[in-house]
Amino acid sequence: MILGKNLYSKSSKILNLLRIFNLILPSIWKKSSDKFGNSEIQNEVGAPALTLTDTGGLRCTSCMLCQNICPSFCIKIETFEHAEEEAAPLNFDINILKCTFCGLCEEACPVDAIRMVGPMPMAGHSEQNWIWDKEYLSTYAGELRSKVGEDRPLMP
Amino acid sequence: MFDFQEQEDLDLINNRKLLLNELELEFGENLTLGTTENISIVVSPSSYLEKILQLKNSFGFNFFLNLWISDNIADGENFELMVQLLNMDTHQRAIITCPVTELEPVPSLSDIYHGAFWCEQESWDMYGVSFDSIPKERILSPEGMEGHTLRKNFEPKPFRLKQSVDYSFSPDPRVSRSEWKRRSVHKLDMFGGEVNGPLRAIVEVYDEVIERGRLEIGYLHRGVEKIFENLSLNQIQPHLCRINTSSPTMFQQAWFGGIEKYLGVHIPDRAKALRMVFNELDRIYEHLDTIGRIVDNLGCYPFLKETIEMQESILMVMKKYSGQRLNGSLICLGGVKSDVPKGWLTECLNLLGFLEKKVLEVTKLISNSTLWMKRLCRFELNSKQAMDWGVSGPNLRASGVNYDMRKVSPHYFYNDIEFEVPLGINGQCYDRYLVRVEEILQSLSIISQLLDNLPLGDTKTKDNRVLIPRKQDVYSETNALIQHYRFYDGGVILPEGEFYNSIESSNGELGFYVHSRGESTLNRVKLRTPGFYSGQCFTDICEGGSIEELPLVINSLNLVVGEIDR
Repeated sequence: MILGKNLYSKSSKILNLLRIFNLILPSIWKKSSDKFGNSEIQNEVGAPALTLTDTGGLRCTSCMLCQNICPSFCIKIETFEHAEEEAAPLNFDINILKCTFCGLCEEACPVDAIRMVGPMPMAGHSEQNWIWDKEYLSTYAGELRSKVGEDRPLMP
Repeated sequence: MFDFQEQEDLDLINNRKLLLNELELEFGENLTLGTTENISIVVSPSSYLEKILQLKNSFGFNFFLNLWISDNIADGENFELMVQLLNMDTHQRAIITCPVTELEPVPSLSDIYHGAFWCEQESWDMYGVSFDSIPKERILSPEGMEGHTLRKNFEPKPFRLKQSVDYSFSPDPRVSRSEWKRRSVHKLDMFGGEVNGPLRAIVEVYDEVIERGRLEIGYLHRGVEKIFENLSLNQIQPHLCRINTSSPTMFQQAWFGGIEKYLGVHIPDRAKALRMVFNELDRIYEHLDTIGRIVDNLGCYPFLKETIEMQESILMVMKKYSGQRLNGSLICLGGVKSDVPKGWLTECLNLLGFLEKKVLEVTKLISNSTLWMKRLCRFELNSKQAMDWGVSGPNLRASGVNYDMRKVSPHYFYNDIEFEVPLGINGQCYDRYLVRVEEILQSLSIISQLLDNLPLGDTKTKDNRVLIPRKQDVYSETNALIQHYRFYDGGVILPEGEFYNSIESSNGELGFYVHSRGESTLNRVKLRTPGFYSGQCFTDICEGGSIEELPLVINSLNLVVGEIDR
């Protein structure tokens, strides 16, 4: 029982041959269908990037939520000795070779300090280049504002 | 008017009650009725084989689901052997538990249920519990390794890979000596592209015709179950989409659905409907993938282009939703990740129209073509073989067995939606292909019905135990910030106990068994992936084919190595 269709019976061979034109002819004058690829995607997931406050400092408060939740253990945060005075991290390294771009760090961040909107580089000179420090991660902060979607604006 | 459907439901409930009563009479206090649909039975090692035979012959548990070892007793030497069976008349699942040790071999089930063969081999590989008449060979981990990986006290040591592995088949007494000499054994390694992941087929060939064959797996083994035991519940989420990348939301649905059922969390109607939409989109994607691979194996490249175009259009719509093409975690604990973006519903409806037109156009051309039928009307798997191996999903339905979990034990709104279950007749590659084509069309109608009646409301639950507050609230409100920390820092902790949840995935029954001790990490996770059982029936199917047809056989069963090896 394949839903009442006559698929097991044989149909005439000439008709079968003619049907091939159904596929070939449209493909000549029709360009490849770009119906679903054209529209702009607002929330496209990219590489992790650190956001800045209006004064230019890092938003990050070293709460360690992203480091603890990362399933591939690629985030490493070092704090200042007196963390109560200086909230921003001393070092914030992401090993991008381990990162799977799952976006859990972005979801877990309570102060909107990390966003998955950075550009994804495809090649580098040495393995050292793939451990991104906080300076490199925050270079894209300026471009970030234009990229963030309407549905989730940056934290005020 | 007499309602047949209602009468059937009543009959089912009565039959189930009768079965449970009979089981209670037989097993007495060893039987416990769990909170889920599962019942669990404890048997002693001496009566293990006898009881399983009794369950199969007198109680109708004729379908083998799973067999695994669990170290609930944490002393390193004593384990629990668990066998899961299904009664197909009453849809009752049973877990049979038996205490075992590594010293005494356990009687093997592979004569009663053929599908237990790989499971028992895996049990020796992972836990060191041996079985009668099962060779002590590594199935997932490399040959030459020491120790058993899934034990709690396992420590990795460096080892040297065993190079000379004997691949020859055991001699067949029916074959004459002169013919035996002319038979040759070939190892064929297949990689991504030809089939879905790295696989090795070992075949015995006589006059270019395959006489016997088997598959060797384990080349993509990542130890997903061990990873799940070491991560917290929040961290497991991204790993779920990466087991089978063609249908990521199926795994998430089985996992999160199980946890929600276990905790007693109710999710809103809109989230239920959206989850169903994602699952059906995944089903379409995976079936298109299968058809594309079959088309590729036969060399009909123009149609391959068409199937890829269809798959790409699905991916673009998914990307619009989550921002990622394949691995965007759409489903989260207690609902779906975010509400529908602006204009997404229209785009999805457009996609349905596009897909239906395209699928009909392509399949009309190839389904009746003589070449297509000549190549595909082969490699039979009859219903008895399929049931013995534990094959489920479209492969089982292609053999003529009407069993779809969406119909027989429906979750969410599958009860209210009209769709039909396509069945095959001969169990050949052609039937498997046709069943998939029909399922695509049925899935399209399911999605369109869902999108027409999409319920309004929230997309996340308001239950305090699994609540993820909205980001805007976290930035401004203290309560939401506290809840945010509670969820992401402490994590969700499952109370002590065990559960099993399964759904009808695109390849068959996909289930998660989870055992928790009430700690932040889980004690034991076991996946029931459909490919693990369809992979074994390759032995029965491949006879009489030639070597260049092997990828066709494998792809018609849709063996995804990522989910077989785990």
